[in-house]
Amino acid sequence: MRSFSKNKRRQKPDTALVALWLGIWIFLSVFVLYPLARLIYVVFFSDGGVSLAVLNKVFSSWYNRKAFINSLILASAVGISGTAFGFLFAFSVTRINLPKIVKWFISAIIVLPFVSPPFTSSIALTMVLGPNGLLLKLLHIPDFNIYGFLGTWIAETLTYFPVAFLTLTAVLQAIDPNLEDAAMSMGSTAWHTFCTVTLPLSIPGLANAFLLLFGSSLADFATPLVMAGHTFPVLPTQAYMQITGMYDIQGGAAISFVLLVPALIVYLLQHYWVEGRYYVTVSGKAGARSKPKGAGTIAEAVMLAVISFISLFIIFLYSIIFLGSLVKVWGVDNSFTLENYMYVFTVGWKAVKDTVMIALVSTGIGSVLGVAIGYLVNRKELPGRKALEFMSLLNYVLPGTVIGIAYAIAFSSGPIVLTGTMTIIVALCVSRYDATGIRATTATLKQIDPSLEEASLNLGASKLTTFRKVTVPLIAPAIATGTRYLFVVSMTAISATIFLVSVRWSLLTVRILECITELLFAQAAAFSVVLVLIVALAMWAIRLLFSMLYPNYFREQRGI
Amino acid sequence: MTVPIYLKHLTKVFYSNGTALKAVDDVNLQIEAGELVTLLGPSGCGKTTILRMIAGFETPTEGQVFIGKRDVTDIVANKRNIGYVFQNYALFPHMTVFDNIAYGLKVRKLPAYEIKRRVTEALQMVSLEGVENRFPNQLSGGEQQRVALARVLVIKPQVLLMDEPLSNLDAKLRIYMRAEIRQLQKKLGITCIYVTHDQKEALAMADRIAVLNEGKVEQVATPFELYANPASLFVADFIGQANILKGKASSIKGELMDVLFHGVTFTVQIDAQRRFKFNVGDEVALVVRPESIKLGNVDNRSLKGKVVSAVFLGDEIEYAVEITSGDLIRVTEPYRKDAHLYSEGETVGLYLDPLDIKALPV
Repeated sequence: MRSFSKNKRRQKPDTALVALWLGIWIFLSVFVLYPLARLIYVVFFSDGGVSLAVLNKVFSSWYNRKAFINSLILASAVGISGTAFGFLFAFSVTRINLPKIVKWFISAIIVLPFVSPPFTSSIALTMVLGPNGLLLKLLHIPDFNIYGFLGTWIAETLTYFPVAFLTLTAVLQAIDPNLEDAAMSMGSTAWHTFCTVTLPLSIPGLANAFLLLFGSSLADFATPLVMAGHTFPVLPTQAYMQITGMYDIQGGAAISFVLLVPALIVYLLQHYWVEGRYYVTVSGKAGARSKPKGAGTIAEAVMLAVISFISLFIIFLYSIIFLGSLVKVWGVDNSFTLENYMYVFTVGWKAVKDTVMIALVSTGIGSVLGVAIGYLVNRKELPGRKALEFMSLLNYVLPGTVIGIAYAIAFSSGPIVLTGTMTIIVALCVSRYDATGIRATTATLKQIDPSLEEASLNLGASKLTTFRKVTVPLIAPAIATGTRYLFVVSMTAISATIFLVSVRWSLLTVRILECITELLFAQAAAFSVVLVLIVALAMWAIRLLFSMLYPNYFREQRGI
Repeated sequence: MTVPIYLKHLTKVFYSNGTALKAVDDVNLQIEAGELVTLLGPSGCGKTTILRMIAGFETPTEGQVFIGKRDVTDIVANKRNIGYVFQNYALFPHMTVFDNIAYGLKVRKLPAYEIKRRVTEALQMVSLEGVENRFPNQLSGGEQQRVALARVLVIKPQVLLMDEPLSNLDAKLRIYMRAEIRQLQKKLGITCIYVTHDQKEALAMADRIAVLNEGKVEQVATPFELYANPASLFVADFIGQANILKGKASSIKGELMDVLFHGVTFTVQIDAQRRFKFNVGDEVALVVRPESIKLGNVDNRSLKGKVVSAVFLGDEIEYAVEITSGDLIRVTEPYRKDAHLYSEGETVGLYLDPLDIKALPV
């Protein structure tokens, strides 16, 4: 009787899912694994065997050794200052009673660096404190040198502290104000409560913010290229110089490879050490949220003074960019002109067109891929989900310089030759910048109760219909986030793409860099303004698109 | 068209981190057409897993599920035509009430006018009209529950599966809704399996109750039968309140058995089928419901005890009495105007009606 029921059943994934899974693995193998493998091969295989000869040769130069140490010093400095600024801003927004308009204003300032090309703060800083700098003239300081550690540090801090702000805002919001109430009810002052409750509880968040900024600074290519000068070499720019200046791709690969080690350590620390202790203080459903407590009047006054100063400075820098794009020669001939914009739309037109084209294609492909990977990572029946997640985030986690050089090596010879094509730039943007979409999709899917999908199946819908009608609308906010990010970064990226541009396909960011090296600051500023406007337009368009596709997108989306 | 459900050797083993957990262990169950059977048991007893296997959300490790004459074990969930009401309702948060209910009809590609007619009809059925254009989070818990019900009834499923559908409602609404669900189920004549851990709910709704423990069916019976004749100590203890006294079988004559418990002999009836389970000299558990014990003066037919607590509950008085064996016995006496109220510390005699004592092997 029971004999026929002996064969044990296992849930089988459908063929469509398996095909998708295979397709993504092939994509990741070609555009993530293969370039890195080629890079490692170039660095470690010379004279027909495994050897450290290339690395030895590169780091026998004291200049390159100095670059390594400089990179670490710079990254640490940016990590500390950026985290401090980020915390000040985050604390002010979440814990001090500020007027709505001020809060709105702060969030606007925070968004600016995200949508700007990577050189923005460098250009502005140069225009203000560089040769012929505005402030220097005003204050009559003739021989001030902004180039080097100082300028790079300031520019990178201003560029990256918003990342710390976002991380720390989430952390501070998650700390139950009832804990602060409890401390104060036991007689603690606001300042003492801040020091003994709020600050200690934010430590995991602070550590995470520091690591994020450390990694960003380490990988930053654009800022040091403009600001660091010859006295303060860092690894990413050294790798670039080695390749473009000395035509030594092997040496460049070796320098960039050294970047991999600290970058991976930072990623692993963040992933396995910080994340584990992240949300220990979140007490789930708190009761009524009490009013924010602040940190005592004096401390608050100091904090607000500092953030006001920083905010004004940032606004000042961005106004300078805008003003600078409207004058003939910055600091020399300050008469109004639209020539620079004419330049952008004539000489620079191809770069504008190419960049937008590349960004559109990358965004289209990347958002679909991001959703697909995020979905697969959440499917329990497929093997190797962890590996898939890790592999899909690898290009994002590693410094852009490394990826750029790896692509340049891998796709210039061998079975797949893509040098000079749009495909290579798109492939890089997609495989590198779909990470936000993947993460957002994974996180949102985890919040969606599986019973919603089961309910759909139960009502007779196929898996595909369920995915289309239930899953996708519910993760629409995550898809929108991923799409926006993809477009912005495809437009503003440079660290990796600079190794892949060609006569046929140019990029706005590369044009800006060329302008800076030719000291055409006004034109660089005009390019930057145009880029920011395009990005802003795209943000608006994406928002419109999603609100039309998913009218309930703006409603609170939670599984009931 | 109403059909029976038949579960045959249904088994589910979950594997996690190398350990195997038998969530459902060789369950055989026949549910007649139009019948409402509740699966009752403590959390983790496998009741929801059984329901999920019938719906097709889980694949059985072994065994089969029949709906009517059809073996649906290997049929995917969306081809089974089964209604499933989830504990959390699983309403689609991005769709209006109308779109939620119309979902299954749209999947079946019904014409728009037909969809509209049937959605309206379904909303009438659950007495919830005029909320078509609201979103689920704009509804109260009770209303969400009704929408969930309407959403499955509208596709005219062959059978209805409900997974603790009332557990998120407050006590009063729960009692009201269970009556309403039961009425609707009877009216539609739909075969229904209803999972709950609330025994009152099970007793109130079910034609028959299947009591589950650790993945196994302990007993399947009507509510009355289950209360009066529990098949195992687990069932006796799980359904209602029960005092369990452990005595010794001193003689067995036909369907009568003498059980000696602390100097008092109780003569209890045992049914013919269970006759073979008892042997003279064995330990025997006596199951006595609190309401079948009377309190009075001590004599040689009574057990002697001391009142430990007396709680007046309005319609009844609940006593805890410690008898000489050390066992704590619960006794409930109905409220009567002229009733004697015993106070804490008082010595009382407990009279057990032999007809109300159920003997079970230990």
